[in-house]
Amino acid sequence: MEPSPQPPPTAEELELLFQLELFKDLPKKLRDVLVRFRRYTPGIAGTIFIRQGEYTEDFHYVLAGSVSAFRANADGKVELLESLGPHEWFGEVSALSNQPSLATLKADVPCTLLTIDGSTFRVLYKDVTNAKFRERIDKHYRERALIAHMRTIPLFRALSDSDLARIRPHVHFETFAKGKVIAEQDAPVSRVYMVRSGAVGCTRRLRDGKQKIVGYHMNNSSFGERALEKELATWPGTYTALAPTDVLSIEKDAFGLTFGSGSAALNALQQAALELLRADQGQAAAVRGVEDAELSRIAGDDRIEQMVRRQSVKGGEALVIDLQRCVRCNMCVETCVAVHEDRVPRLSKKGSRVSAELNLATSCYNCEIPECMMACGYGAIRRDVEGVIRFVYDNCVGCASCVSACPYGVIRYTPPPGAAPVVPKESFLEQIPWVGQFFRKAAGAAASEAESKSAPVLSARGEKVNGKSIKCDLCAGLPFEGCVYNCPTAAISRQNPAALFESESSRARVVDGAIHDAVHGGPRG
Amino acid sequence: MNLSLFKSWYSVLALLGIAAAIACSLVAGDIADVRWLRLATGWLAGSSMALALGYVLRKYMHKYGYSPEFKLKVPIAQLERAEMRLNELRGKILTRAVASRAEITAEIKRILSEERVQRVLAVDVKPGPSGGAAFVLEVNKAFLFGRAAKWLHLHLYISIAFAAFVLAHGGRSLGLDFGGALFALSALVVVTGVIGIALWALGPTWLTRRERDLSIEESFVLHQGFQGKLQELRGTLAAEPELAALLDDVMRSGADAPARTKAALQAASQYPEERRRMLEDACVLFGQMRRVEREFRALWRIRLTFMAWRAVHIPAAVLLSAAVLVHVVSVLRY
Repeated sequence: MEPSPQPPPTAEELELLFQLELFKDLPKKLRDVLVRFRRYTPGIAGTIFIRQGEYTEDFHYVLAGSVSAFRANADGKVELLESLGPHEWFGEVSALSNQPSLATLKADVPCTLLTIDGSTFRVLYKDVTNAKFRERIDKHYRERALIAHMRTIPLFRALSDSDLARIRPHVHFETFAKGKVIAEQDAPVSRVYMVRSGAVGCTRRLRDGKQKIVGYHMNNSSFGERALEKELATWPGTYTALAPTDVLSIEKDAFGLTFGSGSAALNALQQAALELLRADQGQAAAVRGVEDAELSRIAGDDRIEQMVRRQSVKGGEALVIDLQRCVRCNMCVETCVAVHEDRVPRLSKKGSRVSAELNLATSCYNCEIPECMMACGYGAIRRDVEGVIRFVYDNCVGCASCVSACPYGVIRYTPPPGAAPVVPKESFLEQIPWVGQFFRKAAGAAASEAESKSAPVLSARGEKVNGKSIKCDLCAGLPFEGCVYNCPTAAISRQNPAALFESESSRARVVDGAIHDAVHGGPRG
Repeated sequence: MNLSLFKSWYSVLALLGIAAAIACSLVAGDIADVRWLRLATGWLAGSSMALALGYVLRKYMHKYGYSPEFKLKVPIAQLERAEMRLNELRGKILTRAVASRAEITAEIKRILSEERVQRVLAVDVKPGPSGGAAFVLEVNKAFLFGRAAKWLHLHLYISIAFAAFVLAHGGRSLGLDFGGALFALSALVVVTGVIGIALWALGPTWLTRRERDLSIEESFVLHQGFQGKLQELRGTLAAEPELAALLDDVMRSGADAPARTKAALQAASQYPEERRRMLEDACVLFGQMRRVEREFRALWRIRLTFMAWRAVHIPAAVLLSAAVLVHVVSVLRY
């Protein structure tokens, strides 16, 4: 649901709201934020609040009633994960990780939820003056959701629930800003890391001093499994956050202390770690200590390098132009203009070349790690249930944070709606060569019309609007995607960037597939 | 080479049309004597032409936003409701609550129609992976009227059939009259079209090969950027009319640009350092702009090579349409 400001609360409601354990220590400014964007979600028995596999951002706090979390496994069996009563909450994992929900949340009895949109929740969670709120959320996550989350990580699949519960207290939560180094090449491996949200790239420094990207890790994957080896291991490369990244980490010694050396659980973990290392050719090659020259010859690793460099690991669907087919008729751009009322195209054919034949057009990828959405502090960007990134234009104030956060530069900045349009809309008659001039408005009349429209504009949240960010909306609501639909030579299509750079040695593909299997009960259809 | 431009079932249709036209000519001898055959081939030619024009109509209706498909737009909230319900259905498939393909298809139909998005979304039911859900649902756009690429195939092959029908329709009575003119125009349109499609199949490869450093779009954008910057510098230099005149002289130069630039910079040596630098920058910028312009022009020439056929094809097609209209009206009227 689109985040929007709510009517002011009564004094009684305010008092009750800030008596709640989770919110009682909120600083004044965050209290105001919460009050403005809180909403109440009622539900009768059987109401489904979140469906398994759906992208959701909303955080829900149970005020009354009870809600149960169910999960359908790949074998078709439905498992009851937990029941949440008053003063418990759900949705924080999806709001922070941008991952589809792992379970279906259904009302057992009539209930009322306090709902906060993902953008507001992230503001509350990440504010440094609000450590108590964060602590409570993390504590709850550790107690109730961590085991379910760890079960989706291939490394821990071999462990039973009781083993996971034993290791749970040793899990640390860490956040890395984009570009921050998590582990340095050749330093001793002292921790196993699990990516909770975001992406991590692994770069190896070769003997000739060149840097080579040998792999990447996305949500729900792990690295540093070599910490589980008996001998002292070193990092095969330098691990850097490719986007704002949340990781979970466990100290090497914690495994021995928890399970005891030679225990079945530790053996199972070591076996799983070995298999994962084998699956990752880049790391496996490093484990075998092969020469750098050999490393650079590993099939497909250049593709990984390209994927990471072009940030295509962030997933989504790219608009790809086959240059061997494209006759440069510009129909894609012209249709895009026709579809949008502001007459501003959402795509540019000027993009980046993947190969001699393929060009990635500048158009929204709907990334799996949407940095634009994470950067927006106004609730103007959200994700729909299918994972499509949607702009809530009424909330956009034109701060342009999303424009600078987008790794592909696909977001355009336009003047606020009241200002004169960038390209004035011409009627069909005005477009006729020679004759069109007789139907055009006089320059003065057009200018005064634009001036009359240029009253100050406020967003739905009441902030002054300096401009609007726009991006490809996949022709939302229309039965076609204009550019793809109207290309006369079928040169343009939507493709997953990973498929373009497909490499059998890419672990990310395996991990990504595993997540999808876990969530949807099977590979992507 | 883009061979996909030719791969279409419509080619079979065109072959059948040509075969029928040849058969008519062989069987009937002079078609002028067989009234029903003449009428039949005439109507066939007219309908083929109408179908071929359908591509043009579809293209421009989309380009200018007049396609009826634009009217089918539904609010996003409505779409999302349908998507949520489809997710529920996915859950039911996973838990085997809905098991057969027929049941799933019926349920999809019900969801799409209840949410009134049946003309916007299309859902494919595909077999699921082993060990997972029995079926997976793939949600796509409905693409109601078919992609432009398919319409281009129809346009191409139906036009070839049209030529055959026109030939059969005219029979042996073609001369220097209106019928002859119609036939000549038809031939011109079809031949330029066939040449055009062959050029479209080859042209992108030529252009892509030539786009070594810059693509045609990049060179255009870069040229515009240089032009803007140069104009800005020219505006600043306007305060020193003599320096501005030197820059104008450089900008008017052709092959002798390096010599003129050298001369201009020498002439500017008496000016203060700051002003001279500005002229130098402008000259460098101008040189870069010229290089990009040359690149753009070279790429543009290639593009023109495979797009120029349209300069004959489109006016000839407009003339032909008008002539056919006159022909049909006159036949029906008189």
